[in-house]
Amino acid sequence: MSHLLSILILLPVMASLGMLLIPADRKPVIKTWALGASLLNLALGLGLWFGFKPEAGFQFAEKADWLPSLGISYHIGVDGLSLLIAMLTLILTPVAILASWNRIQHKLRGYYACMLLLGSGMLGAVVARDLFLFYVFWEVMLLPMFFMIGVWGGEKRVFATTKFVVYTLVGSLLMFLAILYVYFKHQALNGTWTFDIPSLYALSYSPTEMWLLFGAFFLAFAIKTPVWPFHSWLPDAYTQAPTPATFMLSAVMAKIGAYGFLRFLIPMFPEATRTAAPFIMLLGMFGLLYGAWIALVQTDAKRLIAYSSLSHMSIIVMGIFALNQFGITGSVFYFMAHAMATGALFLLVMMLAERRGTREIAQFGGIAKAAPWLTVAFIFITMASVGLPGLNGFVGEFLMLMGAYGAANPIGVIATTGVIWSACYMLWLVSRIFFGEITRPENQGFKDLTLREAFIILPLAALIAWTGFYPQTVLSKVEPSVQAFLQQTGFAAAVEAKAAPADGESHTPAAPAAHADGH
Amino acid sequence: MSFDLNQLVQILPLLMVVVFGLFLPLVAPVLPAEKKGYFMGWISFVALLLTAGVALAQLAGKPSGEPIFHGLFAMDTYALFFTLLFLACGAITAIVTTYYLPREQMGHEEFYALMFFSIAGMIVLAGGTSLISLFLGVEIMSMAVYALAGFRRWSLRSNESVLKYFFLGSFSSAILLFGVALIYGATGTTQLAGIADWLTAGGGALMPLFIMGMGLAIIGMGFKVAAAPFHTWTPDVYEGAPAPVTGFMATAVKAASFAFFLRVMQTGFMPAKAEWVQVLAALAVLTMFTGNILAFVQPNIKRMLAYSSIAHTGYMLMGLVALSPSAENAAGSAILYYLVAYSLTNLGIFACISFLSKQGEKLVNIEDYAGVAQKYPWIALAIAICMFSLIGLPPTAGFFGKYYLFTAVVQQGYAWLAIIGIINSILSVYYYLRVVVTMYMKEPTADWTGVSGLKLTRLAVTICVVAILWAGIGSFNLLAVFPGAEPLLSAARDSVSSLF
Repeated sequence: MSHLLSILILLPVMASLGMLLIPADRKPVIKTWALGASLLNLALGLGLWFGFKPEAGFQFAEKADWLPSLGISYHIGVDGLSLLIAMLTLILTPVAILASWNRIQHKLRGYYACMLLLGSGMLGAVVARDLFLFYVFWEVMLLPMFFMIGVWGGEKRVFATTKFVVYTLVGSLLMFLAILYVYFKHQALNGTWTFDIPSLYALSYSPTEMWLLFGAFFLAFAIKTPVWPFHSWLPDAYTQAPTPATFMLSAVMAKIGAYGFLRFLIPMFPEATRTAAPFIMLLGMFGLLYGAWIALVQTDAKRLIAYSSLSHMSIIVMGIFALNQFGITGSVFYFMAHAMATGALFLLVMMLAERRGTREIAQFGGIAKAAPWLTVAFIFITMASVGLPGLNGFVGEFLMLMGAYGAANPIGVIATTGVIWSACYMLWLVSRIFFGEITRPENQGFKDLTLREAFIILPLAALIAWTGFYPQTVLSKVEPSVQAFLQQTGFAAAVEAKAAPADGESHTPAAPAAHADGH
Repeated sequence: MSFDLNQLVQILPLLMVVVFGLFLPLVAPVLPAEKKGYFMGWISFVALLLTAGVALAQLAGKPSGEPIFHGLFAMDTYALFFTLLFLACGAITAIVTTYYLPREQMGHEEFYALMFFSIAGMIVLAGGTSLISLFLGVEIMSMAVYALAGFRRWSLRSNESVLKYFFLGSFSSAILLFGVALIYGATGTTQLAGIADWLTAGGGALMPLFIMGMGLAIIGMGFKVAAAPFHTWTPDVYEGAPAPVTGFMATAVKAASFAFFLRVMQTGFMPAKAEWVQVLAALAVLTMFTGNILAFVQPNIKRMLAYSSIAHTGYMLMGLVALSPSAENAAGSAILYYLVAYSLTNLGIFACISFLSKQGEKLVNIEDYAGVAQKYPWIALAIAICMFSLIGLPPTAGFFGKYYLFTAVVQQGYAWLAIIGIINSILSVYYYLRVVVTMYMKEPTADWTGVSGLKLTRLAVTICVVAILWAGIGSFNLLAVFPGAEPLLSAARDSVSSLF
C-alpha cells in the first residue's frame, strides 16, 4: 500500500511547523523554505500523475481505522474526478508562493504556514473517501483562508473575511446535519455504522427526506462554488484577499465546491438530481450571464476578474448538471482550464497593481509599448479565458456547452451567448489597459515582466497551451472515471440517447477537441 | 450494609481532597513568607496529581460501583470519570493561580483550601446516589465557590456579583430542597434507584405531588448549570470573579452540576421521561438562544464567555433530552465527552485571559485584544484554537463533541432540536470569530506594559491546546496521558454504563 497521498497531505503541515523554528526576521529563508516545501511536494506529486492508471478506479488508496466504534476511518484515494484538483493543488501552491514573494511584507511565517496548510486541507478534501474525513478537511481548509484574507487582505478585509466564513459555515453546518442524517439512515437500513462514501450512495429516502437532504448538500456546495444566487460573498472575498489567496480561492477552492456536486450530491441523491438538474442548469445560466454583465461595468480590474470567475464557474455547474459524458468531462477538464486562466489573470492584475498602486482600469492605458512581454502574457491568458480554440479553455467550454445542448437545448443556446459576453468584457479590459494612447504620465516606462514574474506565468501558460493543443493528456485520465460515474449513478443511458444527435460523428469527447487543433 | 474499611478505601480520592484542603492552611505558616504563594500553588498541584493518580488506579481496577454508606454514595466509573475531570481542572487552574495570586496580592492558603473543598463537594455530587447526599454535595461545592468567586474582596463589583450569586444560589438550593422534600413525600425515599422503582411501579395517586417535586428539583438543577431563565447570575459572577476562578467555575463547577443533573435524570427520573422531556427541550432551546444572542453584544470577554457558557449548557441540555432507558444510547456519553472538550477549551481560554490581564484585571475587553497576535503570537494562536473549538470546527475537540452530541440527539428522533442547535452554532460563529479577528486583524491599541509575570501559564495553555487537538483527532492514548477521541469516548461510555 502506497502512502504517497498521506505524505502529500502531511508534508506541508510538517513544513509549516518547521517554519516556526526559523527566526521571524529571516525573511528570505522563510520564503525559500515554503517554496522548497511546496516544490518538493509537487515533485512527489508527479508520481501521482504518472502512476495514475485511468481504468483502475480508485488508486493510491489508504485505509486505517480512525474512530472504529463510530465507523469513521482514515480512507483516502484518487480517481479521475479528483486527480485533476489534487494536481492543481500541488502545482498551484508553489506558483502562489512565488507570487507572494514581494507582495507579502509582514508576518511571513504565518502567511506561508497558512498557504501550506491550505494546500493540505484542499488536497485532503478531494482525496477523502470517508464522509466524516471529508467534512473535517472541508472545514480545515476554511481556516487558513480566513486568516489569509483577514490578516493580509485589503482595506475591508475584516468585513470580507467574516462574510466569507459565515456564509461558508451556514452551508457546511447544515450539510453536517444532513451528513448525520444520512449516516443514521444507512444504519437503519443496513445495520452498520459507516461513513464510507460509496456505502452511503443512493440510499432510499422518502421524498421529504430526500429533498431536505439534497437541499442541505446543495447549499453547502453551491455557496462554496459559488452558484448564483449564493455568490454574494465572492466579490468581497475575492477583491479583499491578497491576490495569491484569491488565486487559490478561485483556482482550487471553488473547484472543490463543484467537485462536491460530483462526488457527493449527485451519487447520493440521483433521483432528486434528475428532477432538479434543469433548474440548477438554469441557475448556472443566470450566473453565467449575470457574472458577465456585472463584469462589463466594473472599474476595478480585480473585481472584474472576480465576476468573470463567477461567470465561468457557472458554466461548470451547467456542465455538471447536464449529467452526460460531454458535460461532466468538460467540467472536470475545465476545472483545470479555469484554474490556470482565471488564476493567471488574477496574478497578472496583481502585477499591474504592484507597479501602479491601483487596480482601477482607468488608471492604465497604452502600456503595451513599454511592457510588451507583460502585454503578450496578458493577451495570451485572456485568449485562454475567453475560449480561443487551441487553448485549453476552448476544449472545456466546448464540451460543457455540448453537454448543455444535449441536456436542455434552449439553455445551451443561451449559455453560448455567455461566451460572447466573456469575450466582450475581457477584450475591452485588454484594450483599455494595454492599448490606446498613454493618458497618464505614470504609465510612461511601465516596467515589463521580471524574471520571477515570468516564472509565475510561464508554467501556467505552458500548461494552458499543452492541454489545449493535446487535451488527450488530461482527458484520457478523466474519461474512464466519468463513464464509471455515469454508470453508477444511472445517468449513462441518457448520454447515448441525448448526446448522439449533438455530435453525429463520434461519442468520444476527444473528437471535438482534436477538431479544434486544426484551427 | 455495615460500615467497613473497604468503603473508606473506595472514597479515597474524596478523603484525600478533604485532607489536603485541611492540611494546606496548616503548612502555610512554615513556608518562607515571600515565596509562600508559589509553594502553595505547587503543593496543591502535586496534591491534585496524587489524588488523580489514586482515582486513575481505582478506575483501572474496575470499581464495582456498589452503593456504599447505606446507599448514599457510589464510587462508580461515572463518579471516577468526573473526579478525574475535576482534578484536571483544578490542576490546570493551580498552575495559573500559582503566579496569578501573588500578582494580584490575594491570599493563598484560603484559596487553595477552598478549591479543595469545592472539589470535595463536586466529587460528592458526581458520586451521590441519593437526593440527600447530592444536596450535600451541592452545598459543599457552592459554599466554597461563593468564597472563591468573591476573592477579590476589595472590589465592589466582585462583592456585588458574589452577593447576587449567593442569594440566588441559596434561593435555588431552597427550591431544590423543597423539591426533594416533595419527592420524598410522594415516594417515601430519597434514593434515586428507589424513586425509579416507585415510578416504574406506576406512581399512583401521589404522582402529582411527585411531579411538583420533580419540577422544583429541575429548577434547582437548572440554576446550577445556568440554564435560561435561571442563568441571570452567570454573567455578573463570571465577570466579577478573578479570571482563573471564572475558568474553574466554567469548567469544574459546570461539569459537577451536569454530573448531578445527568445522574438524577438517568437513574432517578427516567421512568417519568414523558413528564420532563418537553420541559427540558424547551429549556434547551431557550438557553441556547439566550446565550448565543446575548453573547453578541458583550464588550467584556469574560462576560461574553459567560453567555457562551450558557449557550453550551443549552447544547448539553439537548443531550439530556435525548437520554433514554437503553444502555445503548449515546446521549449520556456524548454529554461526558462534550464536558471534557468544553472544559479543556475554557481552561485554555481563561488561562490566556489571566495571562493577558494586567494587575487588577485590566485589559479584559475584547477590544483590548487588538493586535495581541503581534505581541503574544502563541497566546493568540491558543485563543484562536479555543475559539474554533467553541464554534465546533474540526479538528478540535469541540467539533467532535458537537458531532457526537448532535448524533445522539438526532438518533433519538429529535432532529428538530438538532437543527435548532445547528442554527445556534451558526449564530455563535460571529462572536467567537470577532475575538480572533480582533487579535489578528486589528492594530494594537492597548498598553501591554505590565502584562506578563504569569510564568508557566504558557505551559497550562499548551497542555490545553494539545489536549484539545488530540481529543479531536486522536485515536489512541498519546503518551498514555492525553486520551484521544477514541479512548476518551470509550471511557465516557464505560462511565455512563455504570448508571444502568
